[in-house]
Amino acid sequence: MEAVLEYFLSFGHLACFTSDVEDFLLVLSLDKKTELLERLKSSSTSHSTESIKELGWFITLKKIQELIGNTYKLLVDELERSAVQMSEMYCKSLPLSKDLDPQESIHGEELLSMASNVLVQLFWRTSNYGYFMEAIMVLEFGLTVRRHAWQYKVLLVHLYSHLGALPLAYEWYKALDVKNILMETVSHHILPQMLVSSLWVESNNLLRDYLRFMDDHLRESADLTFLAYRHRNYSKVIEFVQFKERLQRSSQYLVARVESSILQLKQNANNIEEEESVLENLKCGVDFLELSNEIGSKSVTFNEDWQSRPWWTPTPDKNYLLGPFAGISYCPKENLMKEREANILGVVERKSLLPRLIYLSIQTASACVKENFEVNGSICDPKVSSELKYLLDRYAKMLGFSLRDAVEVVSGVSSGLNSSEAFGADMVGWLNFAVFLNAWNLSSHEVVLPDVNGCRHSTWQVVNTLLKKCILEVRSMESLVCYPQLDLSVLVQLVTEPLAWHTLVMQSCVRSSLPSGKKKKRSGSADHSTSPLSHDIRGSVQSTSGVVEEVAKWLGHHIKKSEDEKLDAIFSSLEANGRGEGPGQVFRLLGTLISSLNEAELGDRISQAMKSWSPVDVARKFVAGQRAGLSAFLRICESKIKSLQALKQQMAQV
Amino acid sequence: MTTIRRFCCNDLLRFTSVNLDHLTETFNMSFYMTYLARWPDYFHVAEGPGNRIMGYIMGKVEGQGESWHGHVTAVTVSPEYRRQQLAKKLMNLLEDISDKIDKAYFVDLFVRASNTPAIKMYEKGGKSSPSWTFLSCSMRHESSTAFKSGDSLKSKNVTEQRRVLRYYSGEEDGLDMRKALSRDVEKKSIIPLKRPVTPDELEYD
Repeated sequence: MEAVLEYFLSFGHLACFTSDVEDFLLVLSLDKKTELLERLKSSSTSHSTESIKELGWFITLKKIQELIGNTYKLLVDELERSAVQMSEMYCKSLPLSKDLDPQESIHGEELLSMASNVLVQLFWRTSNYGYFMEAIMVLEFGLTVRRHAWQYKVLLVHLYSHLGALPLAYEWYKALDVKNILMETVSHHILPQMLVSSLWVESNNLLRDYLRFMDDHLRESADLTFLAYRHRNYSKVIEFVQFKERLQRSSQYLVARVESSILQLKQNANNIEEEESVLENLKCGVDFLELSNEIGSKSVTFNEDWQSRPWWTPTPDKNYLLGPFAGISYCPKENLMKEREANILGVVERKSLLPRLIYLSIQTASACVKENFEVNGSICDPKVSSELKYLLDRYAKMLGFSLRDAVEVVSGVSSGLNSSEAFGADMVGWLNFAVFLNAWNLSSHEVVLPDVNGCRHSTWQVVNTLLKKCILEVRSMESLVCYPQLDLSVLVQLVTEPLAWHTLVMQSCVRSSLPSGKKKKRSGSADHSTSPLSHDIRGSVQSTSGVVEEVAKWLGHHIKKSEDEKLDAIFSSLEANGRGEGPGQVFRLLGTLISSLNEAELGDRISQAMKSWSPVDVARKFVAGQRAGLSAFLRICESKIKSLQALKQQMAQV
Repeated sequence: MTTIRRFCCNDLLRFTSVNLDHLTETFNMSFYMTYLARWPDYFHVAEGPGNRIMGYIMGKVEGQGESWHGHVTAVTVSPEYRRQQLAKKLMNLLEDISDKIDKAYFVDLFVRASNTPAIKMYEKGGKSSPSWTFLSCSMRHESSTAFKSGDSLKSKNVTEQRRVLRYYSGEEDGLDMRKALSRDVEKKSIIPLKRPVTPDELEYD
């Protein structure tokens, strides 16, 4: 402890002090840490000299407090005071940066990130969104003063993502100018959210650029290794080979390859011919199936830079804000990494099955309808049916159940015996399972669903009910009306995955049941339109169409909501409550600063930047960002409605 | 404690906090790997406690005859570790290697004309160590009044610069700065040029 104190006296004002001593602090007990903090505080007051050093010490003490986990013990009003104090210090210190070049960091720049982090913690504790909006305002203000502060941009990417303004989050991510090897280490800030969003074009761009970079390097690596050999830098030869292997086994690379194909399948799901073309390019899912088979024996590398992530989401799998305030201190990153590895491999294993499952489902549906409708029609290929069963069995195991038990689970939820909570956090996975189960049952007729109230449903009815139930349930959640991205992303996934795959199965059925060529129906020939299968398909098209129309209607309603109403909601959450507490204190402090700024003290550049800041513009952009995300989803729904209407018309010809 | 060591491939996955800074360019992989393959002695990283990357320097040695010189391709420090003379230490290291190991005549670098913080850093010379020198030219742009007069500039250890027009991505001018090493006894390498040059006129890039 004495050594740390001595180090503090000499270097405590430097930005790197906290990271320098971090490892040493870990070995101290909580009491010792608290004692150290008190001693550091008294040291800094007795040695205060010039302003920049004073500022440096102030920042260091705040960082140390955060590091030792003290902030989680502070009361709400203490945290509020801390956020105000930090923002005040930032504002008071602006004159110190008056003569700095615009490209240099402002003295005390970290204070706004820290204030923002405290405000997010306040949100976590109180569930008051005013704090969250305030955290955004603080960072946007900071970026107006200096637009190159990348730490603010990273925080905004996550804050806007959490609030469902993913298009705006993506804009801030682009502002980071991430390219080349940084794509491997920095993409994790945006890619996971994009992959479950309706922003398909942007997701495609991200994936394409990243995969191109990785593929290019892996291709060039041999030449570069040889270059090192030619220049007799033999240690570099070994290093280059090891590095190439590290990138080849990158977990993000693995995920990107799988997700890129699934994105193509999602984008083309409205048109079965286009989908089949995509599947053909994917070799009918065979390559991904092999990947899924081998994944258990793979070890992956994690090359992402987790350090730059906000405290509330240390990895993409974790978001503390989605749960209740737990007063956690420091969560050991090692445990999170192990969890992440297991998750990633599991997700990749399951997602790799999708292309093959979709292909087999289309094949099965087509063959079965022909078998049903044509006198000398081809019989469903038993190999296809048996492979589909095998994959379903695997898929069910990944959901944690045997095939038989999984059938009971979906049947139970569909019949109302159980709620959708039986699906846990994996609603999308379960609905995918139900869709492919139905496809398999077309050929196998093996699925025996239990009687419910004397009524035995078909697997078509199970899929219809589940899609309707789950999608409309998620859509009506109160939280969706407010902010969180999570529930919206589940809704997007339900519509763009299981519902989309089910649409393909129906398209395949309808296509195969259409009369071939221009032959008209002969009189006396069997009327397929009244067959049970035809009835099921028609019913399913109707039901699915109804669900998507409901979602589209709901989206339209939210998009049309007046901007003024939303802006009012934002600013009223930042208003004073008359008791000098609650969100908005930092926001008002910034407002006061701007209205009373001294141009001579701050210099021309900083004054002009501050005068140009408009919280209303920030709020407008946020609202527009949310709207853009909803609009992209609406466009997807509208194209699905169109496709289903075309399907209805085709069915009329059968 | 700071450790300065040779840069290795894995450092490419650890330099995010340095390279996200807008003044630091992130090159393509082939660029970094070529430097590592050909000039590993000119590619060093400074590592702080907790194995954090503080900054790094990339360079090479090239040329023939009296043009044999060290070149600083890039030097950058993470914002957290700035204003601690780290860039200077990295530059000194590269100079030493060019001077004592490769016996180069001079070292040089290009800097964006708008990168005032970097230019200021190169301008500052320690008492024992001469500062970097701009090669001279007649200025095309009147805005850089600081570099017009040779006499007033000598007092700042700066002479008129060699400006390379549209050096950066065909848009922004670059300034060519040089420092003579011990082998260049007559300091011929830093005799100023009288006019700006274009990128295709550069002997070495």
